[in-house]
Order: sequence, then structure tokens, then C-alpha cells
Amino acid sequence: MLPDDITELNITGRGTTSGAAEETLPLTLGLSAPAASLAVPEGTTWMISDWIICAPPAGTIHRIQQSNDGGLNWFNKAVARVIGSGPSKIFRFRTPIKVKGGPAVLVRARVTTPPGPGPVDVAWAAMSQP
Amino acid sequence: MSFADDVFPISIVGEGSAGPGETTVNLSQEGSTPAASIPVHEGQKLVITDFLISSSLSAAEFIIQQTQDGGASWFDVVVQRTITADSGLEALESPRVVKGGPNTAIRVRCTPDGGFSEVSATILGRLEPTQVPAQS
Repeated sequence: MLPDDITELNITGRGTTSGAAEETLPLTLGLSAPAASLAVPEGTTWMISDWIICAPPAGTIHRIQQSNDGGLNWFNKAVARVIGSGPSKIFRFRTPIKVKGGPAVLVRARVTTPPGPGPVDVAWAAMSQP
Repeated sequence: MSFADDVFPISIVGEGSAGPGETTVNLSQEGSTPAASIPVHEGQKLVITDFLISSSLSAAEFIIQQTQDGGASWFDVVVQRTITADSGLEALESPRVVKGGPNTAIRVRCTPDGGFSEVSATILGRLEPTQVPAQS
């Protein structure tokens, strides 16, 4: 049972990469339309506790990135690779990845599929708290 | 999960080519310029709870090391390895604590089995204030 002031966030991204170059995977938060990034509102803090990555193209690199300036600059919060076409990877963190909200704070998912185009999927289990 | 006001969850991310032999992976914390090591300042302690590693070309060994003398000597804090080219997460049952100091820092060293590999490492944890002894 979560405390009343904590909201569960179900964030997913599905798409097909266009090539080997790193690109943004549009994310969906609940009923929202897929977007290149998600705003983390001021006064809230997001905690990403579970990171699920699926990627048939061999050697796919996934990143969780944050921007504090509205998307001008991005930095990595986590990086992982999927080698081969095995099952999904589920990373469950003891210390969630924390993103403190602000007027220009964004998060996004980036993906690289070096062998070429292919389907990729991500899911973040997260919580938002004041 | 919530944290006290003076506790800061952090992620430290490193990426690059490793090998041949043991190689330092440059680290960045919240967008800082990548550096060979990350200082842990006096008055703080770094509690490492998760170590997420990836190697793309071969299996590799990853080590988190600590120095207390400004880099003259290093000792191992966490050791983990991938069995093949893969990603793996060690969620540490007993978090490792790095107590900060004027010459304290951590770094990540990587040794790919196959000579060379593209590698990445993500350290998750929290920074906490060091307990100050109560004054009588």
C-alpha cells in the first residue's frame, strides 16, 4: 500500500529504430501520447525503481537520460546493453534512479542499435512523490 | 521509497573502450565532465547499493576501487563480472560504504577477457552526511 502522496508512474516506450545512430525512443506515461521526453514537474521527485529493456537487435545500448535545461543538454542516469536476441532484461534497483523535478527538467530514453533497424521496447516502473 | 532531506540518491555513469588489460572507465555524475575518478568529500559517505555493468564484445571483470590517499594506492570495494558480452546488475544485499575524506575517491576498473570491449558501468547509491559524534 503506497502512501497517499506517492503516485505510481507506468512509463513505456515502443518503437522501431531507423538505423545504427543513437535515437530517442518516444515514451508514454499512462494515457499520454508518446513523446520524445517527459517533464518532471517542479515540486515532485521521480524514483525509477525498475528498468525493463527488450531489444532483438544484437548489441543494443539503452540509456536513461535527464536534462535540467529543457533539453539543451542531457546526461546519462543509467546505461545498459542487450547482447543477442535473448529475453528481456529486468533491472530492479535497490536505490531508485532519482530525478528531482523542476521547470526545465526532462527525462528521456535513448537507444542505439548498431546492427541496424529493429524493434525496441522499454518500461520504467517509477513513483512520483512530493 | 522516500529519503530524508539530507540523503541524496545519486547515479554515477561510465562508458568507454576497455582493454587490453585493466583499464579505468571514465565516470560522470549528473552531467559532470567525465573523469578517471569521483571524489567522496569529507563529511559525506557514499553508500553503494547497485552496480550495473555491460560489456559488448566479450566477458569482462569490473571493479569499484577506493583511494584514501589521493590516488597513490587503491583497494577493491566491489568486484563483479559478466560471463559473456552482456549486461548484469548486482543489487548489493550489504551496501558498500565509502566514507568521504580529503583524499578519498572512487574509480571503476575494467578488464575485458577478449582483449577489447565497449563497456559501461552505472553505480547507484546515496550520499549521506557522516554522523557527527554528539557533544557532551
